[in-house]
Amino acid sequence: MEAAAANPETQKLTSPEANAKLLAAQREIISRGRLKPFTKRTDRHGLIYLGGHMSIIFGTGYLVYLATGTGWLIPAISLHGVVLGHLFAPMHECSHGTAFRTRWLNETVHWITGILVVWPPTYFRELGKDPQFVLPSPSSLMDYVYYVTATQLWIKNIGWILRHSMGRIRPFNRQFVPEDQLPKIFLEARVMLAIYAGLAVVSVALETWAVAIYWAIPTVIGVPVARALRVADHTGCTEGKLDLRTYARTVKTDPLTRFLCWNMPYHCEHHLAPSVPFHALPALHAEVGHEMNSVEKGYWAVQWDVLRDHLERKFRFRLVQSI
Amino acid sequence: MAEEWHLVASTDDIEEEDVLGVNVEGTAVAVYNVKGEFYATENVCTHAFAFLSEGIVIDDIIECPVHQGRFHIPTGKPKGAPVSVALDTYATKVENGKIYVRLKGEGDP
Repeated sequence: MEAAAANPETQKLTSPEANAKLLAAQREIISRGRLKPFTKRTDRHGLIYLGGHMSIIFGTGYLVYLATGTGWLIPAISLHGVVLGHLFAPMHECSHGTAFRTRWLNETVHWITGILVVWPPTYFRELGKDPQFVLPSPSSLMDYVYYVTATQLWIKNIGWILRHSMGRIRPFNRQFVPEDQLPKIFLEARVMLAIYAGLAVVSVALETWAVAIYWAIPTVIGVPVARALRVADHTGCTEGKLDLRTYARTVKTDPLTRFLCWNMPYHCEHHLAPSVPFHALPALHAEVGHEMNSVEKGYWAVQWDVLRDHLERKFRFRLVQSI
Repeated sequence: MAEEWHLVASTDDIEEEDVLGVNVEGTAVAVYNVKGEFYATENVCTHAFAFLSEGIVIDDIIECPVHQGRFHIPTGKPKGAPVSVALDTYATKVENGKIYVRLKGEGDP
């Protein structure tokens, strides 16, 4: 049997005992028999969401086209960027293999959305074993700004792609990647880099700003919104403790946000059972939501709570410690 | 070694497109019902050591409950990241509604 990881902390997370505890924690909330109907995979739901998401992207892209040369260009690009930035949601869902029943369809969408949001898709899947990676939970106000502006994301992701393209990987991250996956991860980074470089070369050669205006600039502007929502899904929850009721936060929000996030606002239910596809999360919430960490007040209010309660409390704690 | 078949379950114990975890002589074995055909593999995922019997059967694929790694049930072969090491598979037979499993090496010449 292949060794999962060299680091003892990681071994704790990937050992049979750790996985047995994780599943036991899940079973405390829902039995396998009750959970099974929610795990059914379909292509239909994924295709509807993908079609809808792409239609909105084309719509906001058309607004950018109409706004070019007018004072509406910045608002149009920002709106377009928010929709583009939410492509993280299908990339994340595909990483679990749950967006589509048909595997090649799942993998194709995983790859294309990964390229668009600048997340190396295979590497993202491997890093799911790293608890610090899956819990974007800032511990200070500066940390919050670092996360929510996506500064942390761009430094980290572009750093990964450059480093991996040179056949190197950070020792800390290396522990999460099986030996035989390393060549794939290095190749993935090279392919991504080649695509981005190719787009840049074509843009220069054709003297066009299309790639910048319709993808690169909007993505940089829009990704922070998606990051802010993910921070709200976890910050201040029981990070690192094996209580699946409070491990994350389910945030009641408007239907458009739920749609663009592919139901990820049902985040507590997602962590309860990652094998449940996104389209079944509302039904799973109806089944077990009363036991989960659900908040009714929407993402803006949760952001405020995160800033006021969690980060302020941590700041005071540190201040007291320093005194 | 003499051929040794171990009674592990009744066919009624495992619904179609489902899996049951059993212990055979100290070995954790997953027994699957794939469209009325019964198969057996080792029960522990080769990636992060979760019990596959807690996972999801989709056609002839078993999906690990922890990281959603997938294996082809009849052959044990991995079907893409994050799993890369194949599962051991075991011979099965059904007689009078009872499922029997033979562990690796048992009955081999």
